[in-house]
Amino acid sequence: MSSFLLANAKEVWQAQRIATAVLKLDAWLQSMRSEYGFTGPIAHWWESSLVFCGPMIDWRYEGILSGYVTLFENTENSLWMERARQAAEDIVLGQLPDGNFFNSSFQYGAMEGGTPHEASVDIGLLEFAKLLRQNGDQTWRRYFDVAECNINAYLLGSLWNGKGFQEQPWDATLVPNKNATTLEALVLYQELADRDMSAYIEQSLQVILSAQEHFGVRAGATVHTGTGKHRLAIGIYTARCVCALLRLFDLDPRPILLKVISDGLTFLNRLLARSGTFFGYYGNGIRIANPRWIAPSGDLLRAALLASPHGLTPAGMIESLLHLLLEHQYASGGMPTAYGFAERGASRPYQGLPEFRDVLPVVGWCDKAFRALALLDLDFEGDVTLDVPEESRIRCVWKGQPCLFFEKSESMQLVRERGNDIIYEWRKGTSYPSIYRL
Amino acid sequence: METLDTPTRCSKPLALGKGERVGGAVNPYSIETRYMLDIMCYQLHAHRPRSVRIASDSVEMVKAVGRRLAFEKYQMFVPDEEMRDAVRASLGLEVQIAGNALADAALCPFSISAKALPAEQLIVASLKNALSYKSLLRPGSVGTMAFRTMARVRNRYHIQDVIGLYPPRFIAVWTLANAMERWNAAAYYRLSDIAMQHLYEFGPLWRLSYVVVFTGKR
Repeated sequence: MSSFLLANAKEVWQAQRIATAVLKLDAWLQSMRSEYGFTGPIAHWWESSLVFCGPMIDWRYEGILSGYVTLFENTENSLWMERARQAAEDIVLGQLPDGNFFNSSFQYGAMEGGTPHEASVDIGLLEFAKLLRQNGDQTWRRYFDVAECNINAYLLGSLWNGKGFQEQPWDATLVPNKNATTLEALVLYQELADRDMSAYIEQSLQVILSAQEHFGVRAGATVHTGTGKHRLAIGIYTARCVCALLRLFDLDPRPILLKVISDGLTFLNRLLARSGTFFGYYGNGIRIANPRWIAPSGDLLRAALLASPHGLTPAGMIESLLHLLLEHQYASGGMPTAYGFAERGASRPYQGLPEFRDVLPVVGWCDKAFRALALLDLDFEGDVTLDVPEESRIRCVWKGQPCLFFEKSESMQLVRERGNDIIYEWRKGTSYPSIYRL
Repeated sequence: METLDTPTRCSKPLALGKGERVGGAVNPYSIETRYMLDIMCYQLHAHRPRSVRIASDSVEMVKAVGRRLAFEKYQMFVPDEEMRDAVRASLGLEVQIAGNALADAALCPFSISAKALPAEQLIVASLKNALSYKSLLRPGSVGTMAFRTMARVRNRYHIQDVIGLYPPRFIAVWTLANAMERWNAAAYYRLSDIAMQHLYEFGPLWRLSYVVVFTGKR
């Protein structure tokens, strides 16, 4: 994966500033590790996992592995290889006897079988295996075998129904962004395994194409078919579809893909705002203004960067997304998840203090920013490791009450201003908060 | 129709009561069980026992606890060989058969009985409560009054950290959210989110909550 030189972006955002942001993210990610993997509470639109905070083998490993692989490719610094191998070993240990990954369900908590999470983990593993094979390192098979086992047993064995990859073995819904992630995993797998996966890839592509909107304010978006009658058009999931189509285009350059990608990017560009990228649109065309994503917007930046060589990225989109990510990064290196959770789903943009779920830095979101920023042409100088992250302190609200969110190198804490009560405290690396009074 | 193998992980935020009981067995993947087990394991974590006995006759419930305690470094005990083998085969976790061994703690998801209390020094238990919305929807479906059972437990344990799940405030907002869903998607998402913020009840209204979780210490 080559890095992206950005003349315009460099004028405003010096490469060294971006490099520092990546190093801070790396330091923060490492602060979130336990001996079994990356930990931490999770905030999401659907549900949040604020009680169970233990290691999970979910899509966080896609961005972490892919980010470290890209950094190694671009710098040949062995630290990034070590980091990638450490993450890959978490996955090897986290594979269950049936091929699934331990606790892969992200916001739903401790449960295997998460989609698209297991396919995302395969992408991370296969990108790492590919790097190792290119370097003549025979250990690539160790990681490839784990991904292959998951692909055969779960993706092809349990989720494939002849028309696409299902939401779950018991839920026949074909969700476009989940098919997109699976498509990406299969494109990588096909290359490494020398096994024709085109039938699966083609069907997944059809799922994505059939879900794209063509008219009105939602034009270019892919509808999340799992939302039933609400038919939500969601930005971050559209971005993941765009990224998958770009990877497919490299393999199979069909002109139709460029049109779909271009429309997708036009939609994504409409979602940009200074405080984050708008969540998306309801089926009736009303905009969902809250929350506005921050760290998850890394997937929009990745889509914009990957589309840039094809001349498909709207002007100013990359710079806006860079600005968003870098401006919001904490001193501790993490990034807030969003802004506006206090009025989730509302069409009028929320204006008050951020909510606890907004300010919470989440590994499975920050990996998206890390992966995208790693794609840039970074200017590292000297030692690439930073010291222990500094403390962050942010005013926020929870259930309408003013609070303070503290992040230190070893913990996260939410303190209600009135009475100075600690209502949430989680020590990094542990599976549960030490205080939970939310 | 849900079965024991059908987690209720839907794209919608919540499907209250789905999969709650299937064929007489508790579905550990249902939302009520997931949130209940999370808070029970949180309570257990606070006491840092070295060993814990999972007191349940449901293989799926034991596995669901295993997923949550896998990284806690507890020595885990399960009731019998079938459970041990199931946990080993599906999760790759090493657990032991309880037999006569006495663990530091007992985790009792829907399995606490005032007539046969565990022997462990610490218990973390959950039970269903008839004094809740459930009895309004399905009269007679819940046979236990949480405060009555807990009064008996109190004879042998000092009860602390009582938390209710599905308290009246949650149910009221959740009902309103569902009523609005058809007309106003934004209101539905907003209200269902507010409801979820009130899923756990730390105050006195645990007495009117559908599921009650508590810790007992000797």
